[in-house]
Amino acid sequence: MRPDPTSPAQWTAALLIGAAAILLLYNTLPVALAYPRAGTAALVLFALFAVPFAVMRRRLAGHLALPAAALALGLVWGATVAVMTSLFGSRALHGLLATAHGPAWAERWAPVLAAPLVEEVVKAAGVVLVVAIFWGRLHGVLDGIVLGAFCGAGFQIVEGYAFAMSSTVVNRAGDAVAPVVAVFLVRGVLAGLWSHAIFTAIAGAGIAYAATRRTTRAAWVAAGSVAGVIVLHAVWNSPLLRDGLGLGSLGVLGGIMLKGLPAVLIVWWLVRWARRTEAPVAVGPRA
Amino acid sequence: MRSLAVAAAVAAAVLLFALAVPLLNKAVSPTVDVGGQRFTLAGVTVVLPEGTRMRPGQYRPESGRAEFLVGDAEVDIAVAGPYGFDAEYLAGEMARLLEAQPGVRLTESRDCAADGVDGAGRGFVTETGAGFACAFVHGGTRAEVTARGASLDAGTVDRIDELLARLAFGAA
Repeated sequence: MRPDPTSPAQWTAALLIGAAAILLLYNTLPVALAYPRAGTAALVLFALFAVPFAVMRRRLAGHLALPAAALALGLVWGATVAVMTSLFGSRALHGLLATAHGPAWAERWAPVLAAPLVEEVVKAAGVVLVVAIFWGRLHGVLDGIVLGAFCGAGFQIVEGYAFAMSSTVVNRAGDAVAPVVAVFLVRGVLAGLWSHAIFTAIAGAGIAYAATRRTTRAAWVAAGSVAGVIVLHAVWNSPLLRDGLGLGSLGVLGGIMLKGLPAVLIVWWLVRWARRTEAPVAVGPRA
Repeated sequence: MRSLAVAAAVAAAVLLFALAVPLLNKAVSPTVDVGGQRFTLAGVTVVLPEGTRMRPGQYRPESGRAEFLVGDAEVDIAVAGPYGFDAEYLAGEMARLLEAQPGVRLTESRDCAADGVDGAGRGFVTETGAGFACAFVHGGTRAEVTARGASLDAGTVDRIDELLARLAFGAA
């Protein structure tokens, strides 16, 4: 990507990412300095999220035209703008819901009604912005899936890190690594596969479909994909099946699978469909 | 032209959630007087002194967290358990996090007393004001109270101490 001072999309990305990065550092750095061992462990563990997506990119390389810079930009957007906007937006929507329905109701339902809406819209906005910056480099739906996955992975890395550090702080038991590992096992291993990366991959597929087809119907497909992942995310965040129907830890695990698997299956189907229908990218120099 | 339209739409989506919705929340969720009301936070109850105010979204009973306004001071209460350390250790942990905040400097220790439970506390100053943190541990439950404001005058501090004195463990 060459910096283009006349590109409004590049300016928007630079300004929003710069502002969000400062806010993110302001919010996370004090905790990381107060708990250096836990902070380092959380950073290393949650950075591992990026590995499967780097492997995914390598395996699909023959079908991808977007350069690495586009995926890196998506990752950084997810890690900064999407995270900080979601923090402010979700908190404010929580406040509005508490005013309308009471604090207890809002505490239970804000994660279902507010967070998925804010998070998915802002991550999808990042995908749209990157597509606009790299306009003409998009080959097909697979590009959108991988771009969306990187944007979601960026969000997931920072969110996972924040949850792990919050758990360390909330434990009030010193600079301990155990709470970080526990959060990584739950949010990273158990619930990591069907989280932000998968949701944004679906939205990315829809956006890439619209950007490459350029029809009204394709635009509706893109809007539908974003609406769809908001619903999938809301179901994932909902208290539905959280108690495992009283069947113990196996029931809880079954509940997680049942709520998370549809999104994974959709991405799996989309990747298969795109690989079958989209011609491989002609090999050429990559940025 | 396409780049401009996309940039405007993306910036609008971000600003909607980052600025407009928070401003709307502030506009339509004014603070309400909760003086005399009883709040339960994960096994700890508090009957608030007269004149205490709160925004509805700042009471999270299941998370054991609440934020009240006493005069111009913000008072955050966080309750959790089980906890295996004592109040002195908890106060040290609170101080560790406060100390890492930009512009915050810890000052002298202070006495803190809840309903029948003695705690440990530290004062601090910030670039824009002052505050103090109190830690209580009782029966494996811990309660943390952090008060901060532009000017913590003696009257406000007395009212916050009155709030602390009404924190009752195991009375939910």
